[in-house]
Amino acid sequence: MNPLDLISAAPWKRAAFTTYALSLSFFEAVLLDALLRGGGRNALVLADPEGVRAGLSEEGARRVGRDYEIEPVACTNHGVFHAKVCALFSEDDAHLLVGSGNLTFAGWGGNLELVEHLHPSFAADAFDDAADFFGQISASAQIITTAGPACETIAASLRRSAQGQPRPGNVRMVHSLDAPIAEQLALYAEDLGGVTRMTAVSPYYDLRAEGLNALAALLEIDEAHLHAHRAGTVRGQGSNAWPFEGGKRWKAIDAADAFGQDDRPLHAKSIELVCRKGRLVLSGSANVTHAGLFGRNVEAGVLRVQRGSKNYWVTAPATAPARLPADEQDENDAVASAVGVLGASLEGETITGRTLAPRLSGSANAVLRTPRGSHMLGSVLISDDGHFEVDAPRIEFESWENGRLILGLEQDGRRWEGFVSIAAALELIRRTGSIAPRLMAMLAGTETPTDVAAILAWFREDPSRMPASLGIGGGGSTGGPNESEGAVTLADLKAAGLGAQSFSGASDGEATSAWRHSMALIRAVFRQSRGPWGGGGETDDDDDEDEKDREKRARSEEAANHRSLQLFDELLTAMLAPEAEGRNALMALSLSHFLADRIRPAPGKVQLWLDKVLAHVVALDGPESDIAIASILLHHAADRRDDNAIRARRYFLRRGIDPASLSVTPDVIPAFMDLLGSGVDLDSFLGEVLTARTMGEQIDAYLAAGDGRGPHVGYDSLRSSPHWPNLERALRDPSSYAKLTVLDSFRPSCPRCHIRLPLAAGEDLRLRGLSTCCGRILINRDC
Amino acid sequence: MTDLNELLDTARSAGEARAVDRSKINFGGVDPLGLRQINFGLMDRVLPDLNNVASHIRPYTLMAWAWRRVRHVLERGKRQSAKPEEMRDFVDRIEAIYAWSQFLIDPRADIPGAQAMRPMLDAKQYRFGGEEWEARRNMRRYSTGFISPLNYGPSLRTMGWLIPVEGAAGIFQPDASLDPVLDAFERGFGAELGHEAFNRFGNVVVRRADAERWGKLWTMDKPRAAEAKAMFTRLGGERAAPARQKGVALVQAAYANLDDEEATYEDIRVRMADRAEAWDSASDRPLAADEWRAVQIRQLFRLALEGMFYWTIGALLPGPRSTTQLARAFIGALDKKSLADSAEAWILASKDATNPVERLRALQGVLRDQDQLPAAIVAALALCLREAPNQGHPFENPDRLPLSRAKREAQGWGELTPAGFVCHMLEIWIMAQHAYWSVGRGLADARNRGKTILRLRIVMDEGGWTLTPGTTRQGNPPEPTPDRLETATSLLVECRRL
Repeated sequence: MNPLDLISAAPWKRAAFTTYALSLSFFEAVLLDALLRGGGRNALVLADPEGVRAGLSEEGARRVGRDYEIEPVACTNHGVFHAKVCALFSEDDAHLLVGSGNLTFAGWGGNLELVEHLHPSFAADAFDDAADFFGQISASAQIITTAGPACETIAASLRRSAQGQPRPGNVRMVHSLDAPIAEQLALYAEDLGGVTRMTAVSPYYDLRAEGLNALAALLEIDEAHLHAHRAGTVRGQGSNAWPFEGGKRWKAIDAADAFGQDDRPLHAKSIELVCRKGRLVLSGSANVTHAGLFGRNVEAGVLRVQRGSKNYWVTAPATAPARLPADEQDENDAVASAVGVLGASLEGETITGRTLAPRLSGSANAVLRTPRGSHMLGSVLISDDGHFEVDAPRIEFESWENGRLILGLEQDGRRWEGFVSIAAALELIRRTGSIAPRLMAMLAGTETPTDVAAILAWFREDPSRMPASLGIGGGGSTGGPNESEGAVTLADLKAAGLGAQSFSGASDGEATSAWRHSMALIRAVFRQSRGPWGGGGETDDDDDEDEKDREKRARSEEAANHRSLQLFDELLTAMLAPEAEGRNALMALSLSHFLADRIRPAPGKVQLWLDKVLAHVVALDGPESDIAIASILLHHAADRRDDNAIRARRYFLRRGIDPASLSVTPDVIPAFMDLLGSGVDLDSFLGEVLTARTMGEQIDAYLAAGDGRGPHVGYDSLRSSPHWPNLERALRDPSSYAKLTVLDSFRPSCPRCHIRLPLAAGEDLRLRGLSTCCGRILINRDC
Repeated sequence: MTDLNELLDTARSAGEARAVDRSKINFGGVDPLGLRQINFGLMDRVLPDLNNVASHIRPYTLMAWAWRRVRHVLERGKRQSAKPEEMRDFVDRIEAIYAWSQFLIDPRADIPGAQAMRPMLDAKQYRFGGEEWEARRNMRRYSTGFISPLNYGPSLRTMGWLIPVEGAAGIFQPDASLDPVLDAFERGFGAELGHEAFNRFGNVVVRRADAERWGKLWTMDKPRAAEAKAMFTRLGGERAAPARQKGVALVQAAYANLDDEEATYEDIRVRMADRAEAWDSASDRPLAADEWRAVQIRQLFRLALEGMFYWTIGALLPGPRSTTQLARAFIGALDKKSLADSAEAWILASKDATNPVERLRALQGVLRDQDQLPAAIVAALALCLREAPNQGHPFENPDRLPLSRAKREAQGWGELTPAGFVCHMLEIWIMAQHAYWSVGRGLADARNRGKTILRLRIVMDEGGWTLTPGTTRQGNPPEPTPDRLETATSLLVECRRL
C-alpha cells in the first residue's frame, strides 16, 4: 500500500499525524506536497520531543508553524511518544492510517513498514478507540502537551465520523494510554480461548527479553517465534535486533508470509497470536520490548480479532541475526538530551507557550530565531507548570515572509527550544480554504503565474475578499467589527461544518484580529517589486535535459498570465465601481503595478489601467501613497502633451493636495517606469508641476486682482485668450467686472438662461475656464 | 490522483496490515540551491532581454515581415478582419517554411528544432493544413518555433521588433519604423511572393523544391545591411535599453582591447571581467565591466556552492554522516599548510585578485575529483567573499543567498576554526538552501498540479545527513549558468560591429 495515495486522494480539510522520529524536509517535500496536490490543508504533527529536536536542526524546513503546525508531546514517565497514527478529515468523513512508520523518508517507503488503512464503514470500533486515544493525549497525566484542545477536537471529529456505523468489534485500535498493550492482548486472547502460538515481528527487543518474558507469562506460553528478517533490521541507537541475552526459548523463523519477501530493512512491528477459537493480529508502533508492550511508551496499533479463523502466517525456520557491536547498548539506556523542548504560539505581538521536556520554571532569557536573524525578547517568567507569556513586537509580519520561528529559553546554561505556530497563518488557512496555499506562497514571495491567476479569480469571485475592503491602513490597524464581516465566504461556512474553528482554539475576537493582520500583509505584497517572471524565457528551475518540461512550463505560465490580465480587467471594474467611491483605487493601483512588474504586459494595457484607476483616486493617504504620486506624475509626464504639467497640477489640486508638499520616488514603480517611462525624469517633471499654474489658479489670481485682493500678475493664459479685451476692461470697470459670471464648478448650461451651451462653448468652459452666453463672460474656477 | 473509493475498497478487503510500498517519486531539478535567479538578475544588468538561443538577426526580420504580411493578406483580400487563429496560423506557417528552407540548404543550420524538422526534409511537398500541421504548429509555438518563449519570442517583443496588438492575445504588428528594413528583406525574394503560401490564410501546399530555392534567397547567415543596422539600433544603439547599450559597448571595448581578430568568446568574457590593470589603459575599460565582473563572481559563487553540494552527495554515498564528520572530511582533503587557526585568516582575508572566469574554469576542471574539489571550492569562495558587495540589489531575494548576505554571515563565522566555518557553510548555505528551495519548488508544482518530482537529495534522518532513498550516484556535476555573451557576440558580428 502507498499511504501517500490516500493523502492526495481528497481535499482533506484537516490532517493530523503522530510520530516519534521526524524529518521536516520529508514532511514538507513529500507529505505536504501530497496533501496540497489533493487540495488538502491544515496539517498538524504531534511529535515526541526527540522528533521536534531533529526538526529544530533542519534550517531549511521553513514552513513549519505557518503552513502546518508541530506540537511536541512529552511523556512524564520517561517513556517516549511512539505512536504513528494519521487521521484525515473531510467535511463529513474520516480515514485513519495506523502503522509502524515515522514521519521520515525511511518510515514512508524506505524501510519495510506495515500500515492499516481504516474507515468507519468497516472499522467504527477503531474510530471510537482512536477518539479515546486523542482524548487521552489531552487528558492523561502521562502526557504534557500544548495540543490538548486540538486533540479534543480531533477526538470529537473521529467520534462524529463513526456515528451510525455498525460496530462488529473485529477491528480495534489499541493504545497504551488506557492500559498496557500486552494486557489488552491478553484479554482478547483469553476471550478466544487462550494462545497456542505466538509469532512476533519486531526490529527491536530488550537485550534480556524482559518484554517477551513478561508477555509470554501473561499469555501463558512457553515459547515464541521471532521473525529474523533476511535484509536485517533498522539500526537504532540503544536498540537490539534480537534478545541476545534473553534465553533460548525464542525461536528464529522467517514470517515473510506476513508481508511478502522484502529486501528493505525491517521496521515493521506485528504480533500474531493463534488462539484456540481464532486469531489475533496486532500491528502498529509497539516494538516487542517492555517499554513498547507494558506501558512506559505511548504506543498505538490495530488489533484484528478474527474469531474462528483458521488462517495463520506460514513460517519457515531461520537463523537468528548475529550480534553486532551496535547492539551492545540496551534500549533502556536512554541518553539525556542537552536541549529541552517547548511548545509556543504567536498571537499578534505575544507568544504564549509551555516548556515540556524537561519541565522548567522560574526566570529565563527568551530569544526568537528566524531565518534572517535573532531577536532578544528579554526575561520571561515561567510558572510552576511550565506556562509562560512573552512580548514579541513586530515579529508577526517577518514570520509570514520568512516562516520558521524558533523560540529559545535559556536558564543557567541550559536551553529549551521549540517551534512557534503563527496564529494568523492558521486563521488564514482556516478562513480562505483551498486558496490558502497560494496566498501563503504570495506572502513568501514564491508565487507562480498560476498562483496569481488563481488569487485574482478568487478576488473576482467575491471582491469583498480584497484586503482594501477591510479598510486596513497597511500596518495592521484595527477596523470595526462590521468591516470583517464582508470577508466571510461560502468556504467559511463550509469549514464551520467541520468544526475547524474549534481546532484553532481561538475565540472570534482573536480570529478577526489575525484575519486583519493577514489581509494587511497581502495588501503589502502588492506594493512590492519582485521583477518579471523568467526574464528572457529563462527560469531558474529549467531542466535543459527535459525540453518538454520547459515547453509545458512556458505554455502554462503564458496561459496563466493571459488569464491574470483578463481577470484583472474584470476585477478592476468591480473595484472601481461607483459604490466603492474610490476606496479601492490605491490598492487597484498597487495591484496594477504588481501585475505589470511580474507579467510585463503591453504598455498600452498598463496605460489603460492607469487611465481607469487614477480617475478614481480620491486621496493620497494610506500605504500606497508613494506609488500613487509616482504613478500620477508618470501618467501625465508620459502623455507628452504641452500642458501635461498643468494637467498633473490640476489633478493634485482637485484632490486638495498641494504639489509643493510632494516628493517623488521613481523606484517604487520600476515596472511602470520600464513600460511607460522611457526618457521620463519624474523629479524634473515634478519641478515643472510646481511652477505650472492651472487655468483655475490663474482665474483665481485674476479675480483676486479684480477684487483688489491681489496683484495684477499670475494670469498669463487669460491674457492670450480671445476674451482678454473684455476681461481687461472688467479689471478697470467695476460694472463690467460685476457682469462676469463666476462658476465654482463646471456646468453644461448657462446659469442665466439655463439653456445648454453649444458643445464647443461648453468644452471651452470646462477645459479652458472661459466661455460666453447671454452677452456675458462665463468663468469656471474649477479647471 | 488515486481514486478514494478504490483505496477504500482495497482497505475494506484487507485482512490485516499491509506493507508500505517503496517510494516511487522520480528525481529531478537542476538548481539544487536556488541560486540561479540572481545570476539572471545580474546578467539583466549587463545584457538584458537576451537569452542563450536568439543569436541571429534574420529570425527577427522574418517574424516582423510575416506579421506585416498578415496585414497585406487582409488588405489584398479586401477583408476588414480575420480570426486571430487564422493570422497566427499564417505566421506560424511562414516561420515553419523558413526553418524548413534553412535545414534544406544546411542540415546544421543554427535554428532550434532540427530533430523535429527531420521528417519534413525528405518530403517532396508539405501541406500546411490538417491535423499533422496543426500538431506540428502547436508544438513549435512553445518549443522550437521562433516565437516560442524559449527562443526568439521574448526578445522579439522586448527589443521592439514586434508590438502586441491590444486586446488580441498572440497577435502582433512590426514596429512601423522597420518598414524599410522589411522592404529590403522582401526584395531578396520578391520574385517568389506570388506563391499562395505568402498570400492567403489557411491550407496551402509548398513543394520542397520551392522551399529549398527560398532557403537560398533568405538565408540566415546573410542579413542585409538594413537589417544589421536595425538590429544594432535595438541591440546596443539608441533604441536599446540603457543597460544593454552599456553591456554591448563593453563587449566591443573588450574585443578592441584584445586587439586579436582570432579572439574567442572566452577571451572576450575574460577581458570583460578583468580588473583595470589588465586592460591596455584603465580608461578603455567601461564602467559596465564592474557589473560583468559581478556576474562572473556570482557565477563562481554558485558553482562553488553547487560543487560543494555535489561533493557532499559523494561523501554521503557510503552512508549517513553528521555535519561535523562531513566538515572533517572536507578539511581533510585540503593542504594542511593552507589552513589557519581562524576562518578569518583562512578564507576571509584573501588577497586573491584572479579573474573570476579563470577560477570558474579551474573549479570546473576538478568537479569530478572528490579529493581535489574542496581546495578549488575554498579558492573560489575566498575570491567571491573578497569581492562580495556590502549591499545587495533590490532584486536579490535574501532566500537566494545573495553574496552580500553570504559575506555578512561569513564575517559572523570569522572567529570559528576552518572546520567550524565549514560546518556552518554546510548547514546554512548547502543543506538549508537545498531543503528550502527543493521543497518550495515542489510545493509550487503541487499547488499548480504540476509534475511530481523529488528535488531533495540530502535530508536529515536518523543517523545524520543522508541521501534520499534512490540517490545512489552523484550524477552529472553542476555547470555554470550560460551568460548570454555568445548570443550578444554573434549578433554583434552579424551587425558588423565586431
